[in-house]
Amino acid sequence: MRRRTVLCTVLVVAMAMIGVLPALGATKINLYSNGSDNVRVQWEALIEAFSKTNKDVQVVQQYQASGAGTRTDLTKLIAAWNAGQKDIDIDIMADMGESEMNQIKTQASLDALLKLDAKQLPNWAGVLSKSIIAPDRALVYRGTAVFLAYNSAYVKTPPKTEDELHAWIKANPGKFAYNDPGTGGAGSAFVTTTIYNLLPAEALQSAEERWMERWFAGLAVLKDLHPYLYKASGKVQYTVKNQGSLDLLADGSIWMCPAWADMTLDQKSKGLLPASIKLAQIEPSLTGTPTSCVIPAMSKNAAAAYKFLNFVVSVQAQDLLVQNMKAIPVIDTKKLPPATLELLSGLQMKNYRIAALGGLGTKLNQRWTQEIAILP
Amino acid sequence: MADKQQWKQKAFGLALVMPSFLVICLLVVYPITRSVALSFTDPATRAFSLVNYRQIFTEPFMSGNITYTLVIVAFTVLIVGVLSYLLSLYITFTDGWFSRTIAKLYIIPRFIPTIVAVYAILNVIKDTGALNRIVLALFGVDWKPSLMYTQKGIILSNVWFNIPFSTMLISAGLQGIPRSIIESARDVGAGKLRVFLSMILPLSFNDFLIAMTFVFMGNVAAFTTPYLIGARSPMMLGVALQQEFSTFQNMERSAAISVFLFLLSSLMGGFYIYKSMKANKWDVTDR
Repeated sequence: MRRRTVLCTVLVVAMAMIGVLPALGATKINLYSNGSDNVRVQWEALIEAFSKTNKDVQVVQQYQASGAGTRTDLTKLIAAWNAGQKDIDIDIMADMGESEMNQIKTQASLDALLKLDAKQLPNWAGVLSKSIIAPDRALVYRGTAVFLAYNSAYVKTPPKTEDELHAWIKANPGKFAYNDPGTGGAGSAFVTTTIYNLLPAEALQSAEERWMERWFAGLAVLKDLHPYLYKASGKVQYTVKNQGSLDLLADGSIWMCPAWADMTLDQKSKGLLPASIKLAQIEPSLTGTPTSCVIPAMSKNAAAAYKFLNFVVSVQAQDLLVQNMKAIPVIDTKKLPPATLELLSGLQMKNYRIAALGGLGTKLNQRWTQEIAILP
Repeated sequence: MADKQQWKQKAFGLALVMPSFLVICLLVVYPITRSVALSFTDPATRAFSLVNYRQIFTEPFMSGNITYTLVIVAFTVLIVGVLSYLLSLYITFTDGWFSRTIAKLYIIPRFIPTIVAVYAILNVIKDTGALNRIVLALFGVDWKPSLMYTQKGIILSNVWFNIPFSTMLISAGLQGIPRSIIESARDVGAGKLRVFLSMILPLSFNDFLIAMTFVFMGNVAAFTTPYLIGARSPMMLGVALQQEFSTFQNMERSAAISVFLFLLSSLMGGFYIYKSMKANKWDVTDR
């Protein structure tokens, strides 16, 4: 009896050792993620897939929900840089938008981030998108943008340019809607691009108040479009939140609206939007946002971090990203399996048009309310 | 000796009131004072100024919102008042299986969370909603209710939400009228209408007015219903306040709108206190 117990114990301990040993030999890296819960789930899936073939690197996700205060990794990095610290326990900062990159640039220095080495990151060559603020330090791994969502049952050839879109809206009165820009990014992208398409390109990434004086031209275009937009109860109506327009698109009230790509594709895959809803982009395009991963220059585990990031932009990982969160992949979509392409409805993106208006965004929403929303 | 006793009693009473008094000071009086002060602050110069009030009453968008809100609240109070008074009369003075069932059912809307109920109403009244589809299926007519984004739509949901509570208040008042006086009036030959006009109406009018002050206060700063059913312009003050605060981040103007809403409500609140303190000259029961 006693011998059996001893044997059992030895066996259990041995098995435990076998299980633990690789982890002991593995380099542990900390990945800081940030976003809604689907972001956490997506990283879990990526880490699981990675660890199956890479026993020497153990990735630990430190997830922070968006909207729960400032990003701790960001403030930590900025503080560490300014204090002249030599090391940091952050190895990958994931889900970095251009504004976070800008925060590092202004509050610390872009040198706080490792200049990415293409030799250690062979898959980087296949990545089509680049960060505008830190193209050599940020690895864009997914993105999303505002597109025109349209009902292909009614719209056979979606507009390809802004002019064509305006002509379409006027030719199909009541069949286009955009949400109040203060209530969601889709309407905001439509209003912002309509106004900034008439200004020099640099204005779209400027928070300088002098551009406000030149908004009037774009506002006049919006005023001109107003009578041709979706009408209900005898009046033109602007929807509330991004979902408001998608609901109208789903029930056939409208045929076209600006919408976030990931949101639209996700709802389509769940059957909330009919299969006839498709996405198209116009020229100049509606705005979007690339999302990147960076390695802090102070990280002591850069080699392991490179290995994981190389996986993140591999075909296998990009496929998982599309399936899990309907993100727009950063690699050539032709490399993805047909079932995944189906989920994307043929979406491919190389260049994101980024709006960074700073405090002007708030002022623009207010101007829109005072000049456009009140129109009869 | 007696003085000391009295003093002790007073101190004890004060000690009992103190915690809630302090909580009110900290969480109600202090923030309201801050808001009032903020509403009189010029956003640019931080000096005392009436600019925020001037803006909310003269700017076309905001002043439109104020009129829009007052019209909705007035109609809500009027319709809820009439309907819930009739309903209370019916369930109080009629005895039968139907009125007993109604008396049990009318309270249901009170137990449904606002957000759930608003979405339900929205899916019924919108132009492609249940009403539209039923009419289309039965008569083949594409009838659009045209209630979404309108004052009518908001008033309709307000009525749905407020009838239970005001009916509850009014029927409690009606039940307080002693049956004996009605019966004695009937015994000496008063007709039904006479009994209603000379006894029931004056005896329950106070409760009716009190119920209406509650309906007013509950709707003047409403958010969920007008946010989901109403249009983006004009909008009810509750929605405009949220927009001003979160989207435009104009703290001073938000404060001015809040103070205005607070004034409207406290006007009604004052009326309520006055009404409920004034003894009913007919009242035979102790208040």
